[in-house]
Amino acid sequence: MEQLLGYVVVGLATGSTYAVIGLGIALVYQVSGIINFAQGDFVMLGGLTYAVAAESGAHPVAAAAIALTVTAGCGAALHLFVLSPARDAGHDRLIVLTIGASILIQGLALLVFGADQHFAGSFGGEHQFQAFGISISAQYLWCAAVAAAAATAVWALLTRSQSGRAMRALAADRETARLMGIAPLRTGLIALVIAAVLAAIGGIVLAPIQPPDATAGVPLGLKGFTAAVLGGLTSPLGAIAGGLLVGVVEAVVTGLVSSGYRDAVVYGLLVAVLLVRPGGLLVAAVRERV
Amino acid sequence: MARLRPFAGYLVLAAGLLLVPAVFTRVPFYTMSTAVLMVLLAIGALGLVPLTGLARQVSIGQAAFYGIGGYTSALLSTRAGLDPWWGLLAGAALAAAVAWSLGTVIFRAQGHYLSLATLAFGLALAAVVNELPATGRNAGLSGLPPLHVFGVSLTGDLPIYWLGAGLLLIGTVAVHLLVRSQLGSALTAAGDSPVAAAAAGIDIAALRRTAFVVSAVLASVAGSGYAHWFRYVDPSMLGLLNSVQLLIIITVGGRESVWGAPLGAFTVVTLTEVVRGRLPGSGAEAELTAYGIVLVLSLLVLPRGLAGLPAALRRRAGAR
Amino acid sequence: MTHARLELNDLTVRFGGVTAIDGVSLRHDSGGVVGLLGANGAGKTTFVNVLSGIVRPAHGRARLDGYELTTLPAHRIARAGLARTFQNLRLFGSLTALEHLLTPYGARRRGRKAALALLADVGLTGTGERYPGELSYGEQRRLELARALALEPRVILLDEPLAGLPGSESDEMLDLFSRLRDSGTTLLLVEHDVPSVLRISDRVLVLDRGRLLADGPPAAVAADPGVRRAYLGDGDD
Ligand SMILES: Nc1ncnc2c1ncn2[C@@H]1O[C@H](COP(=O)(O)OP(=O)(O)O)[C@@H](O)[C@H]1O
Ligand SMILES: [Mg+2]
Repeated sequence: MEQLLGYVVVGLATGSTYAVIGLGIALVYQVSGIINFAQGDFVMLGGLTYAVAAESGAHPVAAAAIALTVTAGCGAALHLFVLSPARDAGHDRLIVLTIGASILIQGLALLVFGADQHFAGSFGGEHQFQAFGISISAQYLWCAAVAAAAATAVWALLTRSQSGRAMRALAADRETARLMGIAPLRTGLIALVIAAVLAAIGGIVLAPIQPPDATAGVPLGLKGFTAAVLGGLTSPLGAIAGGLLVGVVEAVVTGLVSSGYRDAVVYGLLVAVLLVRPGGLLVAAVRERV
Repeated sequence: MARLRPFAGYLVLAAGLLLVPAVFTRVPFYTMSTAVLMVLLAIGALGLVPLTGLARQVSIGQAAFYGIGGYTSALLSTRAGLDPWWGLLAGAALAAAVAWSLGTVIFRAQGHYLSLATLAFGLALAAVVNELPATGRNAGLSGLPPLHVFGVSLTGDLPIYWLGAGLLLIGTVAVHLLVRSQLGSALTAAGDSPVAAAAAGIDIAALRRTAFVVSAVLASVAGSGYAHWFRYVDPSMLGLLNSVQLLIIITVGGRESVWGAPLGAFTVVTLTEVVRGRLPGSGAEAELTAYGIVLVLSLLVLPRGLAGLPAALRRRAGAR
Repeated sequence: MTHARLELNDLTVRFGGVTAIDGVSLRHDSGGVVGLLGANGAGKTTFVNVLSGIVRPAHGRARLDGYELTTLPAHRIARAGLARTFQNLRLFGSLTALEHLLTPYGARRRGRKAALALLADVGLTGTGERYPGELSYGEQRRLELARALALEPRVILLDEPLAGLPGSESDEMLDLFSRLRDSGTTLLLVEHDVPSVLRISDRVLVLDRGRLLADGPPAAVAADPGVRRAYLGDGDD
């Protein structure tokens, strides 16, 4: 029983990183109406770049800066060279385009970094602490703290800055926002870059716990999707709550059942939510129907 | 004239399929096993024409149905000792039932949930198959008997190729009839404007579900064919890359037309062989990169795929 | 032939904090043309959307001949005899004009001949094989109307069908509406062009920020001081 609490703590910490990944998905979906299947690959790219830079001796802060820059650049490139040229395309084509981008990023990461896992040390050295009868790496605290800071920064950006207001306006009513002179493409670019940065942050703090390789993006992206869909895809707070829930479910299943079924349970959770309440478990159901 | 066109298309396809063995055994890097792969993938991709091409619903989980076909065939033929054809039929029926149930719930809601739901469903099923003792865990199941026709068992690439080519031809005719039927125009209408289609009395949820079931059945048949050809199945059949590959095939070939499936399968398998055989240090990385580039480029430059090329050229010539 | 019976009871639609339709109640069973006036953002399109099942009300009811419009899915509402057009055209880009008229529920059964006749009725003879992209704006509007008529509806909701049409085409459309009315179909005509609405309507509704501001014969509504102050007088447009 006490151990269960320990798993919950670990789950909340990993879940906080899924929350920021999911936050990026929800943000892009809100602003541009695009389901970005490349989000998981941004996580991979951020984590892998960080780990490779750290392995080659870069200071962790420098490694993180490199990883954030690379991933943000990749997000901008996705928007400028892939999504913007297809802005008149339907949702279906945009979805397939982000899938294309996803495997392209994966392939390039394999070409550049190889297929091996890369290892980065915990922030500030290896520390373990005992809680609820299990020993927990201090890196989990870093996960929670960094994720909370990132979420707070996004919140401040959305509510305090001009681009944040533009994003919220586009999300609320696209047509009216355009009439007010808000440029959907530019705002969409900003949203996608923010999403990429959030993904990279998730990848970086997770890297010491789950050493990344070039194929790590798909499962991490799926967890972000589960988080975002649990929150209804449209609500930033919902995505955060969803991420925490995914983390807890995952940690408890791993701890109590077996790690083999961990992914199946998380994916199953996503299927179940889509089947039962596609509008999200944590928000009111969608209003428009056909 | 317009009425004769499909028959001309069938003839060209049939002639192409007939010529493949003669050509593929004589030119470098094409082999009969690449030919088998092409027809199987074309059968799997064919189902995406009504679903993705007309109804504009994206499935990223077709490999799940491919796997359902393969594993049903494997289990029924090795464990229950049933004739392989029963496995193929049972797999198709199971895939249809799964797609029907999934579609019933997913399409109740408006939105782009099919892509997410199929992705998650496919990965969940892959994870389960990877863990269950009954499906042989990650070792898979081996020792499948070959398919047989009129008492002749189909071992080796050439006989399987002829069977696959026959199934592809039948599948093409069937999907083509569907596309040109009332159901086809209703699917197109629902893809162009779901709201207007509903306002015209079309039950778009039921329609999308029908297209999804068709796609599941074709993917399952391809999976069964694959299983009895390789005589072995493992969880990699359900891998995400297989789903993505079908999506690439139909996008590159042209998702609005049945000719897109064989054209796309030929192009993508050729590309895979080129990348694998020719590029230095080639492996999954070059393949993935090439897939990504081809997918993005074809969507940006040739949104109707290779099958749409003649019409695009004609339009351009007409505009002059 | 009896006319369609529409009954609305305290119908209310909200979008977040905005109440787009605010407690509208009315009854209509005498056929003819019902004009719906209102400034931009008054809730006219939302009114059409909620009746056709695209949007769900927060509360209240709407019925057509005993069918509950507020709970039926959109395609069932269409099959129950309610058709509509869209303010921003929504044609099927990959279907020909003739296919547009064969796609609605029941149209295939009535056959190609009926579809061709319908095409002629709206003045689109000879355009059957063309795609929407190859039609003029006015032709597209008429095609959308024809698609709605292919359902053989008892009620048809027209969301600003005259917007953007030159005078001559606009008059042809109004002619078409009169013929439809005479055949027993009930028309709800959402329009900005006040004189046209007052001329053709048998009954006029005025929406103001979601509320039913006025309801009556055209002459009475035109003379209503509240309406003149809130809408007709302030030179909207
Ligand atoms: N889907 C929607 N989401 C949010 N607000 C909406 C939506 N549709 C309409 N509205 C709002 O409802 C009000 C009425 O709009 P509408 O019915 O389009 O008016 P009209 O057709 O009379 O110009 C407006 O304030 C509009 O912004
Ligand atoms: Mg309007």
